[in-house]
Amino acid sequence: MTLLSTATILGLAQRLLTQVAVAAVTLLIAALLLLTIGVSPLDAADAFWAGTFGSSTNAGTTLTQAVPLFLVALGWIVTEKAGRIQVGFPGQVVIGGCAAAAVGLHAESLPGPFAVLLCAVAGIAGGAMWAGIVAWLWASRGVLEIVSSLLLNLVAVQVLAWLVRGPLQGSLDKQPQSANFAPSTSWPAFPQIPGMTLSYDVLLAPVLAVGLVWVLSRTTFGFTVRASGGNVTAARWQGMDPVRAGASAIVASGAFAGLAGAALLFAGAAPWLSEGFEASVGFNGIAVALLARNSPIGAMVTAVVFSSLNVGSTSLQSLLDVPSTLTSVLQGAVIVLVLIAAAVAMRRRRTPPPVPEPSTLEASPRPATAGTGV
Amino acid sequence: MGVFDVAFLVSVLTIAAPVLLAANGELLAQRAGVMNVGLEGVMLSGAFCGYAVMCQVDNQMLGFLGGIAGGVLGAALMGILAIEARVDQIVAGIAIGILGYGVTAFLNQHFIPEPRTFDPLPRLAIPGLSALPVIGDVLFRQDLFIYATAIVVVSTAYALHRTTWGINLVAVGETPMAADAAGVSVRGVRWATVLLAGVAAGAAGAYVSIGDVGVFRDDMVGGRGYLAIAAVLFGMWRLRGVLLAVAIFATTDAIQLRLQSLDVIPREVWAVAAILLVPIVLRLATRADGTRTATALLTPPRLLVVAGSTVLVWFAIRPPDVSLPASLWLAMPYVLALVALAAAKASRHQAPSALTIPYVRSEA
Repeated sequence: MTLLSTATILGLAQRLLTQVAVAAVTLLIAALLLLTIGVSPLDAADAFWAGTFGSSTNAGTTLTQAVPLFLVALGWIVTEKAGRIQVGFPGQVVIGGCAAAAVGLHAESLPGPFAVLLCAVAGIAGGAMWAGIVAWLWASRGVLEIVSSLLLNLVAVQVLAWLVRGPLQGSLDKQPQSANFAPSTSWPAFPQIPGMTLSYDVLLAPVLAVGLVWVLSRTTFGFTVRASGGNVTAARWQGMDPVRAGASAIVASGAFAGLAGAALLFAGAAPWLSEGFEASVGFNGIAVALLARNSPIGAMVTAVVFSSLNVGSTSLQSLLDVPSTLTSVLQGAVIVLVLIAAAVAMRRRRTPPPVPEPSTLEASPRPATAGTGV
Repeated sequence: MGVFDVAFLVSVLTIAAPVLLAANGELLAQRAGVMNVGLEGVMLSGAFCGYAVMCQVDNQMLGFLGGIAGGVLGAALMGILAIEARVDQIVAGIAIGILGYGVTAFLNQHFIPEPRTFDPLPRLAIPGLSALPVIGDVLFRQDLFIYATAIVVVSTAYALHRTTWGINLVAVGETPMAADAAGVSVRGVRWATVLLAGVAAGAAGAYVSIGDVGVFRDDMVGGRGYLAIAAVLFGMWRLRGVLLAVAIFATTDAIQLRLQSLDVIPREVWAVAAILLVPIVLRLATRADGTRTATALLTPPRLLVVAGSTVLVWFAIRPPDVSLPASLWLAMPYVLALVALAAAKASRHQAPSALTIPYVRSEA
């Protein structure tokens, strides 16, 4: 909660105002798009509400689908605090999911809680391992983390395509997907919700959000990470190791993404591994974090906003025949608007001439060994 | 020639051309300091706009112009965000990638009710040269887009190294402040390169939709935008490197397509893989002062690469009875790129110093 304590009330009000303005402009864009395809925005709002929060079943779906987005957002926040730009979340979600699935397909004999835990741990390990490649390449070979993580995303997609056609393919017909996971390996659902759509993994969100805030603001590790993301020279003089901090932050963010992959499979509607299971969670999670201005607590809200956009668009498609790709348009528009709002706010403040952001690429902790650009 | 016949070489060129053109444009923008990771979205915009214009007028020239316009539109958004609003370029690129997919798929679903199919670009034989054996069939019996790409690449090489404009461009990407002091408009140069990158990506996208297959599907650019960016990075921001990277990507992709019909990986493929590893081994053996030595190879990760290439050479002599699933073949170029990046030691070829850093002119 460091953000709250340091921000003045005025700053907070301005921030809220920009959030509201961004939301308003997004709604306006949505209304205009709906009008161009001849759908009344009011009808659409009705259908959207019914699909997302209108019934407890749908609200359960919305909340459950928010969890993976939120987990990826936490991963982005960790690397952001360490001053690293890692965009390998799609790949880490995929590999985390594959690892969880590989374990889950063999864990049906274990008692429920152990099986669920084991799958989650496998997901975390898979994501952390995939991010570990990025961390190693950056720390000891001087390869920019953004480059290697983008390339590893493309590799992960192919690994998944191979797994669902090869080692993990189900025996049923020749579909490129795994066999169904045993019910004992899936996260249990709240029995009160009809349709069992709300999985217990939503409880992870507040726990992890508070935990991350605590780690970042109250522990030595968190301080090292933030110092390395802030002023590298100062961190070095303090005897910290910025390269080590950056590398651990990358691995930690991969662990979050891997857990998101496990959550997608074992707390979702489709209990099997298929090619499209990642469903753009990896990139949208970044947007979720940005929209929350990299605040773990705020990301809980923005993750629900994004997942309601996803869930709501399905009901818009079925009820009013609105193309479900409207979601992508709005999600992209939201990021652009948030960026522009931030830039405008920056110019307004007219604090010392806007110093260029410490560059993303050249950014500071130069790995000790390699002096190469990439 | 077995796997590597004329049809194979032609397919390599067809796969390479759009990636090369897009990478060529992106190279200019990155040399001036702007990186657009949303290139995929820009290409999609070009692919869709080209297709939409084709649906209206049924004229390939106008279709390509429409594709270019679509690419410029996407690039202009990048310019506004990166150059005017000075936001984080990576995040802006991600937004453009998502928007490009969303907007084109939305418009395609709603405004083009009847999907249509068009003829691909006609192949034009260049009189005289096309009569040459092998080379004639591969290089001089191509469509206009491939010829145009070749011309663009050659003129880029000339413009970048032999003209004042190109030297200014490089200066803007390395030390914008010095360039500005010398009277070069940093903003102007960056806008020009970003828009040029949009023109290239738009035309490349249009080639993917109306030039090559003649239809449009959601997300049909299928990662070529990311490949183009990877080629620029893999090529260490030099045109020669970009050419090599695109050649490797296109060759692996074409082999993959070819292998789908074969059971066992034939000998030639192993040989090509071994040949591709040679530059990497040579680079690993090069010490910081430029001398080559075998002892530099005696560290664990390097030994791994050396061992790998030895195995490949052995396989080329005695092909083993294995087949690699198509998807793992598709992952090969990226793995190769990662290995090459990890192996790269020479600091001669580096990222432009001001890449992704917004330029703020301080008014004293």
